[in-house]
Amino acid sequence: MSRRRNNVRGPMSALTEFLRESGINPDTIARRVATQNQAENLSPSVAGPSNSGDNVEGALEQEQQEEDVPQASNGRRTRGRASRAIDYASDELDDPEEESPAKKRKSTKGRATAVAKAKAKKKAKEDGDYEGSSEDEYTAVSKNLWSMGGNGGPKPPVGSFENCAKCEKQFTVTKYTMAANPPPGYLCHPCSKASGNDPFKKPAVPRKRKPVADKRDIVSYEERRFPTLAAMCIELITRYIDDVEALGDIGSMNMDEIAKALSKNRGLTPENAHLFYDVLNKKLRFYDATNLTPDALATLASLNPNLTHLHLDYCGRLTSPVLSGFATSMPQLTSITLLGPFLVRAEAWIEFFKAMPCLRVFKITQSPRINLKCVQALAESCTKLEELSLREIGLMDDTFADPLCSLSPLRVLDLAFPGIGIDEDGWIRLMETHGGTLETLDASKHEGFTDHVLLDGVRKYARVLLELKLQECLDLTDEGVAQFFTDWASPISTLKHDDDDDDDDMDVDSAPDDVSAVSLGEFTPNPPLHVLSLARNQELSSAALTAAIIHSAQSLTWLNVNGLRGASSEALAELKRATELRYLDVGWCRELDDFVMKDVVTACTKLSEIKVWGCSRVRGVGWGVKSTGMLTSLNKLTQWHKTFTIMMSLSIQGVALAIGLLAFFAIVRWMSPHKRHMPPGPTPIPFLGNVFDINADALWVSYTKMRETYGNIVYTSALGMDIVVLNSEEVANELLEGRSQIYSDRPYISTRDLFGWEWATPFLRYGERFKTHRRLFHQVFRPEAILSYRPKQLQKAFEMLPRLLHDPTGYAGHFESSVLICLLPKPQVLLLDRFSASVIMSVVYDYDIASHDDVIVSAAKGAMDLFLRVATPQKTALFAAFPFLMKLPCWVPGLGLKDAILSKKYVKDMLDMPYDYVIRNRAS
Amino acid sequence: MPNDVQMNDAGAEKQDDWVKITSSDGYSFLVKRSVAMISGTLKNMLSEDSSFREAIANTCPISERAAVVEKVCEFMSFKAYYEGPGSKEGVDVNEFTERIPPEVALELLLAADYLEV
Repeated sequence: MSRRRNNVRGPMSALTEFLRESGINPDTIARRVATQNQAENLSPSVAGPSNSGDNVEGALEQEQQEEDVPQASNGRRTRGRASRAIDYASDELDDPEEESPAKKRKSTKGRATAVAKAKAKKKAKEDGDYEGSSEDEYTAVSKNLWSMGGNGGPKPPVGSFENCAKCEKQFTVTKYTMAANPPPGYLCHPCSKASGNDPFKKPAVPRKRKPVADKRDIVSYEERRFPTLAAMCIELITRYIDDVEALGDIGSMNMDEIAKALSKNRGLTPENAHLFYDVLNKKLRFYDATNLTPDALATLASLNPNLTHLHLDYCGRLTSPVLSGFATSMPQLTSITLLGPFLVRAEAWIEFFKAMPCLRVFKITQSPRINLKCVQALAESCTKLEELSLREIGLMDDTFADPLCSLSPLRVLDLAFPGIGIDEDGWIRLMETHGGTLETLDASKHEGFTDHVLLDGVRKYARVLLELKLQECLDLTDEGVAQFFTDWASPISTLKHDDDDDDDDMDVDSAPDDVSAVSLGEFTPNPPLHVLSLARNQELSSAALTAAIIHSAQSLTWLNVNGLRGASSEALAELKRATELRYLDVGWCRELDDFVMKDVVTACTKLSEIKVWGCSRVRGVGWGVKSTGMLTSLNKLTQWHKTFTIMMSLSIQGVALAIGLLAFFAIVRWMSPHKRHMPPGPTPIPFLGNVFDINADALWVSYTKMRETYGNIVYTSALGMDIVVLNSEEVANELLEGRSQIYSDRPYISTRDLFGWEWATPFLRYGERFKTHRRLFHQVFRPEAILSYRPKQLQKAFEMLPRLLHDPTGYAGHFESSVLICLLPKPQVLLLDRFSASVIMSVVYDYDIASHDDVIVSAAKGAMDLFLRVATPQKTALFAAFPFLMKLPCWVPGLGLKDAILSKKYVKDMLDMPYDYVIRNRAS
Repeated sequence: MPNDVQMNDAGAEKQDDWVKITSSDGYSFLVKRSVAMISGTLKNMLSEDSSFREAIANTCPISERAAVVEKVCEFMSFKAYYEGPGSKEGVDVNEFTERIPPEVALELLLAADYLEV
């Protein structure tokens, strides 16, 4: 509250704004929980303390108590509703005679509109539509029936006599007595039972908000480890980090663990960062420095003058002057690792290199400004460099090869995911220079890294290579890689002749020949690899995989063969030779099945993490249970690409898209249609309709074809559902915009409620609830209102732009909704942007998506995954045609009813967690 | 679970007997040997083939105050209970986190680190 008092207010999130206007604060929430049960036991006539005077509506008491604002209750619900239907913002909403003194007082202060709005909102709340923010709307109706008579008066006290409204017999009022429908009066027990309401039915217990900690056990992987006490303490300390005055001498390992745990919820701030500083510190690593301002980063340098190793992830606010400050404040720095130093300019890098001649380790990920001059300066100044990593450097191209070759021999060279990439020739020269000392090589996504580089570069020069990562090197071929791994251990000269016919265009041939002649005598084969990644090389297949495993089986600890779609199950079965494996990613290896996995898990006893995303044949049967103590990602996203993508978005774009698309291709009428008035269309067959005319996987193709025959408006039907397709924008505008009075509605999607999406605005049918949603949307997202979100949008846009610069090809990924991106198999897309999602989360909940394993994103991911995978259009149609199927017990196979239950859980998390976050943050 | 930290006179079996853990401020705690073995450090202290004073006296001094030692004992009992045979149901590990008072968390972290639990 104190924040508000000083009259300085930044842009607030929409939810915060809404809660504030409605007078909801942590206290009222807490009180609500406390009073909820109590209120239920009380007889309705015992009014809450805040209700006075003519306040009568029992059902409303609870809601009003929460409001914490004196307010005269609106006695007639029906009238309130009617007037609201006219115009929500008008002052007619409040009947003059019912206006409360509080309101009048406020009105005179010239805040009439604000108050009226707040009241309108409250009234919306009173209505069942919005009750309890996300509670089931149906409980509201029954609650009202319970407690109030249709005449709006209070329910007579328990024990008094009433005449039944239906049978006119006298009966005793009990707490189970229900109001007559239609009003006025009350029903005796037999009558209320006869009218279909069970008077003894327990009112739906208001859903209790579970503590967040309980909900987080739903994640996409399963960890079956018993946490150590130290881990628990670290978690606890992280939670209370802002109360810690000093961490004391807890050891660097624990310090690091706390820093790591803090990054999970972006907990590191300029205030608590001091806990990690010390004059004697040699090493410092922050896993998420997003919230550290340039000033805080400068402080970091001055408070840790003896640092030798500095590692900052997500240091987006590191500016040029700060980097210069690093050079002067930390003279002993030999190792610097930065993720995302977008703001540092080329001149600052050059200056930094010149000031830091002793640099041994220089690792940068994602910098759009490192150019040729920087690398030249690096090569000139930092002559002692041993480890170099320039990942995701947008400007990297062939010209980088020269300065990189002039560096002293490196142990680690990582040039992954460049903008353009180094060509074949450059790579051979690089291998020639650094090959002898290179232990780690990452050439991911370099198109110039070809078979030829492997055979004539890596094989010839590498002697101590232990880690090799070649993701998305699309020019590698199966045969080439297989040959490389098969021949790697044997001396070059013996095979030289076989290769010669391939190397017809080799002008560098002479040089390698000399080298091989020299090294012929003392040939030592490269030891087997420890780390190997061949992920997303779709050309690679069984031969390459088998050869690689045979070559390195004995020492391989980390293997990523994600996306080797063609690899046969025999080749994958070879994995069982790699008994030292600890991490294995076999995602999207379509041939992988449970039998192979069982063998692998049995043989590789040291495995601690397996990823089997997108392996449709892996179900975890027979091995999943055995592998206790193991981190297993068992998400099978096998069908996501087949299904509709329109129903999945949290983002505004997504919502707009969904509304547009739904309206575009379907106006569904449920009541028996007058077929003869329907537009022309293909002849339906009885009952099934046009099922066979419509290709469910590519609706648009079918509909476009129909246009040629039937014109712009086509009528089809499927499984009893009538579909009118509007095949041109003009017609769509004309009907949906121009005559929206008649046509604005949406089809009922039968799987919506089943999967817990009944709250989602794009799926709502026209009605009170939809109107409430629209009103809320209008309030906070109308053109004038969104101006206040501009700073946040800008901030997110700035975060997004560098990523766009890096990976222009991932353009769509930058803008699509987070959920869609989470579903994509490519982790780097995940790392890239969720621009729209981050804007939405920031604007609505003031929540910054965490850098890794964001809990809310993963809940959303789970929910979306299930909805897309299980609630296919086909299934939706099936449920619509046979609604009783939804009532079947969940063990009935083939209907996905179990998934529906799970989905509801996920959806609940997705809704509750950001909400809890807001509430929590308001409390602090 | 509580009976794991209670006093017991019998101590017949070797695996089933009791060991004493003392805190720096003079409190002592009796836990079952199997429970104490959860901690790597205590395990080494009590190792039978060593002739450490702790092993002979069946007493392990921990230089932390009682509030911390108590939590350590509690955790070891908790872990022994849930990892032992017969309790296969899922463990809600958050349950224990909630039982740690935040004010001892830092000290507890140090103790946990030292005791390897």
